[in-house]
Amino acid sequence: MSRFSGGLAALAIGIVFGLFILVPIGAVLLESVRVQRPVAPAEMRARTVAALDLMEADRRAAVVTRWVQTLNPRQRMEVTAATLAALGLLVTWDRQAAFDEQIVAATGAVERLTPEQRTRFEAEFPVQTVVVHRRIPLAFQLRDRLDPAEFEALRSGVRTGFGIDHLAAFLTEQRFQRIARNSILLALVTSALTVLIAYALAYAVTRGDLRWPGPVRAAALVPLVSPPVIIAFAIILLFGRQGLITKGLLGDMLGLVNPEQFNVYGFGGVVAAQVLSFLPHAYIVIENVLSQHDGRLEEAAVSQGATSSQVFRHVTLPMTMPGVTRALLLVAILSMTDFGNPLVIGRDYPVLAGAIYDEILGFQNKPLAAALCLWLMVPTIGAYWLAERIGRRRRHAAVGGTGGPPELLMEPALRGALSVFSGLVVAFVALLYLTVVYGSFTRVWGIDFSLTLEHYLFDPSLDTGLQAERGIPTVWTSIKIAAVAAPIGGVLSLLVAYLAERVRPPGAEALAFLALLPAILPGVILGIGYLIFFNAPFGFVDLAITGTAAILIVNVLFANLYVGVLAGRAALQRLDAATDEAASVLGATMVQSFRLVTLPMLRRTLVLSMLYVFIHGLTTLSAVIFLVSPDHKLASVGVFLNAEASHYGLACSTSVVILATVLVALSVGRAVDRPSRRTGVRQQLQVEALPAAATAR
Amino acid sequence: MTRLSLRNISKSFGDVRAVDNVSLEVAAGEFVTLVGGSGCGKTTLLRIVAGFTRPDAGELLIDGRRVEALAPRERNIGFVFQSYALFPTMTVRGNIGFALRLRRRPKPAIDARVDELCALARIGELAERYPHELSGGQQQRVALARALAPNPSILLLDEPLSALDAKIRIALRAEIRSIVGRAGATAVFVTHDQEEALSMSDRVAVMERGQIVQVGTPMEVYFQPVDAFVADFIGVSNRLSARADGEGKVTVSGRPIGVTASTALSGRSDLTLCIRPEHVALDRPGIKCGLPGRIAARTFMGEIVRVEIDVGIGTPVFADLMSDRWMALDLEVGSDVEWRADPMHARLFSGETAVR
Repeated sequence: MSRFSGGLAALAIGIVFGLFILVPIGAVLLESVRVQRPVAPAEMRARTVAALDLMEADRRAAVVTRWVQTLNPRQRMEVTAATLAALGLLVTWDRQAAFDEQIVAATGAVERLTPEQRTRFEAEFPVQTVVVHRRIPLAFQLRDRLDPAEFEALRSGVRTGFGIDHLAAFLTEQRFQRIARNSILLALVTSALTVLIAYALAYAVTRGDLRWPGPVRAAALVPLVSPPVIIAFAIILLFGRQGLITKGLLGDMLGLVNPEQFNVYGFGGVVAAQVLSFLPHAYIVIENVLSQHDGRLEEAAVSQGATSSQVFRHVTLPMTMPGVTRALLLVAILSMTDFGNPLVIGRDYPVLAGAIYDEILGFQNKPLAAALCLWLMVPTIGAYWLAERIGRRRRHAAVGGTGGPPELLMEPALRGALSVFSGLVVAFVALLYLTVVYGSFTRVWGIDFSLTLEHYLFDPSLDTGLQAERGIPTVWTSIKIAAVAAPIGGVLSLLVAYLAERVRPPGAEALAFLALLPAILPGVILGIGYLIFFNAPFGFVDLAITGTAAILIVNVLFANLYVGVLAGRAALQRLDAATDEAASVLGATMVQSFRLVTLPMLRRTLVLSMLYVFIHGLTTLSAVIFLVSPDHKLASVGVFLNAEASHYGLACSTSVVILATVLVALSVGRAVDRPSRRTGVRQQLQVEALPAAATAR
Repeated sequence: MTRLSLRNISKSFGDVRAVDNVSLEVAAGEFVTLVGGSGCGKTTLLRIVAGFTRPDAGELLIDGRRVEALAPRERNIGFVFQSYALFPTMTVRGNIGFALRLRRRPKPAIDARVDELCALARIGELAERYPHELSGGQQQRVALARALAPNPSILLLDEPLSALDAKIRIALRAEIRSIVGRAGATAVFVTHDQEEALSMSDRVAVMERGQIVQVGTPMEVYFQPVDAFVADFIGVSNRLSARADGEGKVTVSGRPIGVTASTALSGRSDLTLCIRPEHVALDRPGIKCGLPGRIAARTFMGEIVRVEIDVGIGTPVFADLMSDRWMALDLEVGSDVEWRADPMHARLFSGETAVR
């Protein structure tokens, strides 16, 4: 195989990945150990004097004289203290005392100086005046003559250094300990409940002989392609203080509860929202193990005389246990790194991911946010490592299975129970989504239930800014950005898969792993990394792409590339590698072989990975929320902001439009990928195929 | 004219010497078969010729040109894969014309060449179909036509028949041989099936443990195997422990069998006598001079009957009789018989050349 062109391609992609994946992540690591400390007085003085020297002598004299004269008494006292300290003289009064007492004491101290000391004091006083109180005006006066770093140093009076202060803060500060405990408890409860429900649904669909398995799968999977936090605010619309059920049904109509005292904004609400949001991921993993493992084992157990509960306990459950563990780990990680749901419905229950969001967007404290990201990485990387280990063991256990469910009749009582449970889940999910649709046509939820189209119609003359900021117009921006990212991401990911599976130049495995990194690490990291790094890449402000559409495109692209890489590799492993060798003996170069032979065979995977990037471009929140700018707003971020600010009408209408767009994209994908005469296999694109690879992470 | 030269080619995978110092010359227009059991290195050798695998040592020449450093696409070879490896997204026409499209031949020239090859491989009516719409045998012909399309210096075939039904397999043997012959191609064919090797090849190279143990025409390797392994691998052979006295008279378990050993083997007691079942004669006892035995079992195989004779030395002796001859003898399992090895076809090997 063309080793040279393969190596060249790997090198080029490696550079791109390094720039857009590795370096931003590295920037977060670096940011987390950045601390700012005050510059020592002597150095500050030297810096100030150097700056003063840049001024013309007569202008300098005039300015300094004016600055000394305009000091107020308190400032004069402070400059006096600094001057005494700079001269190596003792500050004789109590610096903690009240200001008026200190001012008197300072005047006295100056009067007590010896004449020689007094001369030195008078000479130093103007300099210290500038150092202590007029440094900032000086910096701005000289802005044109200083380079940015000097200007910043003079203005702020602090120096950036390295230290583990922020990392240590997580361990020492009590609020973080409470937040960490909250995150862990939430992850444990959410993952346990999610996997329990997902197992029941998957078992019902694969083994329960349901009359309508379709709606059950749809209900389990639809949150996957939904806009962010849709479940969270649908729950609020139903169970909040103005909730249709809590206030309307149970409160006003039946008088059973007092809606004012029913608080959904806490642990319970977050758990409910997360369980339904992450149900698809757990469902896919468990349905996979249930349908892959060989049903002949259950038949054998029954022939040995086992009851159905014994079969489940001794055969089905142990066989599917690796999947259950993987699902538990996966949901725990999703729960821990999710900040949308906790911020919308769990303001009374602070969690780590939410704290990161607050540190960045609320307090502008990037180093602390980066440090918290680092701590969030500990459990996520641990879980990835564990899941990988389980995956490896499972492959050994699965050798030789022929698959297919057992042809056994389920006991009627169990079957009935599963049917009823599945029905309830379907009904609840349907209720949530219908509520969102209803909410999008409702004037003000809870107050004025009259129907309106105002959340859909965008009239620039009437708009107060909210629509343009967070409403329907943003969907168009999202679509454009996702549509640019999708084809690039699709082809690039397959190219990486092809290099890793077929050409195998040195470093191909490392490339595939790099593509996977954004999936392993919490999503916020790539967002913060882009925010930090692309503000001034390698120190060059001119290269900054923050605030542009480009940063959103590359972020969506590289954060979701991994699905195509995993799906492409899986597809290539199934395909006969000899076709590629055949192309090469017939004279094809690596590029020709990829373009003419491999890519057409992977058409389905290509459509799939493009769709994944596109849909995620519309629904992603975790990274892009830090990257949107006044000129480039995304609909998913708009939904979140509206939901957080209780503008439910706009949140609902935008969500409905996003959902409709996603469904259109899916059916377009399905049409493009219609059963093809070419490959013979009936190819049908299904929603759940999208994250099959994603959940394999 | 020598088309392909392998000189002292070696290749190891870890501790395993897959190909061990192999040398072979293939003349232009020749059809050479590499035959051997699984793991003997025959496929590795073929992939080294193709360039998919790089040899650790040795020289590889195609038309007198050193090619070890060249990529497969630069070697001008054709390769037919065990799994066919047809491009599923292209029609038969697309598959066969692929190499010519890569070489930017004008479309009429490509169409003409494809039509020519379709006619050659008798797949003209399938040209617009997709691979999954073809039977296994049809796919194999397409694969063959595709490999021949760019007029390769050498056609390499890696067990191309092993995925097919027994009957199609036999029909395709002659078919492939004739297509390759009419195309005037030079071919190296890999198989584990000795019948395929004998029936198709100009020359056969028998491989074992990474080495070529014998190269010769099918007749030579069949009738004059160089050692007991080849004798056993090509066809079926009885292997009997034998000894020769000072004058070269050979005895099996103390009884003379009418074979005389060469002077080199005279006086040795560690000999192996190989004799094919069709060269063992069988008769009712007392009719001719022979060695005694008893029929332990018989297998009816259509035109012949294979008889297992218990000769009292542990290993049985097999004899193939024409079925009508067997009927005429009117023997059954348990009958006492006399048997005799045809001295003309008995092969004698000393212990050290007898492999295993």
